[in-house]
Amino acid sequence: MASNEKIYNTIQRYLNEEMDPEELKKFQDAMAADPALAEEVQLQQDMQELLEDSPENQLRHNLQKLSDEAKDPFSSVKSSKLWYLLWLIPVLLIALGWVIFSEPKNKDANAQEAIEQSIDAPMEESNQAPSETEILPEEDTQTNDPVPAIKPTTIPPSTPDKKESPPIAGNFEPTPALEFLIGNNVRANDLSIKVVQQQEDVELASQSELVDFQFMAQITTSQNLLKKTFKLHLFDNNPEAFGNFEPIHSIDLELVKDPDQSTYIINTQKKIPLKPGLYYQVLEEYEEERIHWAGKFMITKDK
Amino acid sequence: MSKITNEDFLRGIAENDYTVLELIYKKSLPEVTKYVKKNSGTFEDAKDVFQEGILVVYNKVKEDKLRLTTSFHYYLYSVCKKIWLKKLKKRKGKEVSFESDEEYSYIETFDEDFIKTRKWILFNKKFNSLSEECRKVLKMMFNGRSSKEIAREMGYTEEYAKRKKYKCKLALTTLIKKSSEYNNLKK
Repeated sequence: MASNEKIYNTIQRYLNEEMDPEELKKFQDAMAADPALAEEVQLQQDMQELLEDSPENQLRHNLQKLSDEAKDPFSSVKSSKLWYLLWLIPVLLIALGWVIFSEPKNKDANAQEAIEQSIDAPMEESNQAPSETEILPEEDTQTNDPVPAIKPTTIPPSTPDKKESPPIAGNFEPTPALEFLIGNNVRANDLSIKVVQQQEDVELASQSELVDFQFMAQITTSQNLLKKTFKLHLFDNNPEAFGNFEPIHSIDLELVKDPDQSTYIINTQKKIPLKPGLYYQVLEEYEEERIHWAGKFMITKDK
Repeated sequence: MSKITNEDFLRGIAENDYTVLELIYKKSLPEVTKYVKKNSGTFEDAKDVFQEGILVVYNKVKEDKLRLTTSFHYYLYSVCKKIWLKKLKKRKGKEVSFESDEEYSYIETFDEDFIKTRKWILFNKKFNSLSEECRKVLKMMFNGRSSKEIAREMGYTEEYAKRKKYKCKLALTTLIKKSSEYNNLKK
């Protein structure tokens, strides 16, 4: 159907309800008989409805703007957090080298020990032999460097009386990437976190018991954190889950500001059903996709 | 710390409060995205569904039909989830059952709403590709201004304003009809 000016004017009069009953009836019959005319009328009606400045259309404008600006939290989280895994490459290479070239008795060390030893890698210049590490406590660390803060101890790794690790049950197998994060938190320069209370190991009376999950921390910073979102993620020891950043549980943390100081308190308690196993807690500044702290705990079954 | 209540969120949507909308996007879109992506969708699907979900809430608030018995975010998440299931059903030709809950009866009109949103995006895209003069004339026309008012505003004669309205609308209609998306959206 040609959209000529006469038809356009007729459609406009129909849409503006300017037709008398007789003309209206005639036009409705024409639409019923001519699908192209009906389609044209529908289009003109839709244009009127969707292009006027109605409150709904103004809302659509804002929603569209927000949608255009929104970033996929999962693809970006994955990519931005991959660097944590990249840290593991040199770590694992050095661990492998150490396993190969160290004393024969150390060749039997399990993978977990190798990972632990290898965390010393960045400090090898000052320590001829790989050593066990002690992670600097949060409050002792004044570094501006966002890389993990690691302090070597004087205990050599190959100390003969070093205790053998107990055998690790299948569902208590540590996740290397998460193990690496524990204590090696990446801090912003002007933000320090002191974990006052973290979830401790729990012995369950039954398989299906709810765990009283607890976490309390104090954040000191000059930033206004009330505009930010902090989440505490709970991962099990499935390495893929952390790789895909798919926690089994996430808690939106409420920050309460101390009015007299630049301090914020987080105090969260939640009942979560957890099976026996090894779990990791990860504190994330959500918008920045920055992990500030990681900890772990075990759930065991009462014998 | 002041807490935003369900009523604050509903009022924010009803009044198109950008700050509240931003907060809703920040808080709820990730959860919806997670759900959609886990169920064969993309981030683009999630954003479409999320917009629809908010519009559903908007219309229900406007009609004074919404009484929340749960948190706003949980409700919005449930709405989006059902919209996505409905869309999946259409996409995969599979049956998806919903609870026989009065609260979610709007889902049956979802196809229509979704097409409306797609049309809104298409029309605005084409509208923005018109000349500035045409955009001004059509905006006034769509907002109910008479040819006389348009003529006065634009410095035209009334007769020329009528011709200009027709020509600009014809240009927009042609652009819309030429697009392949419009043909897909036609019922």
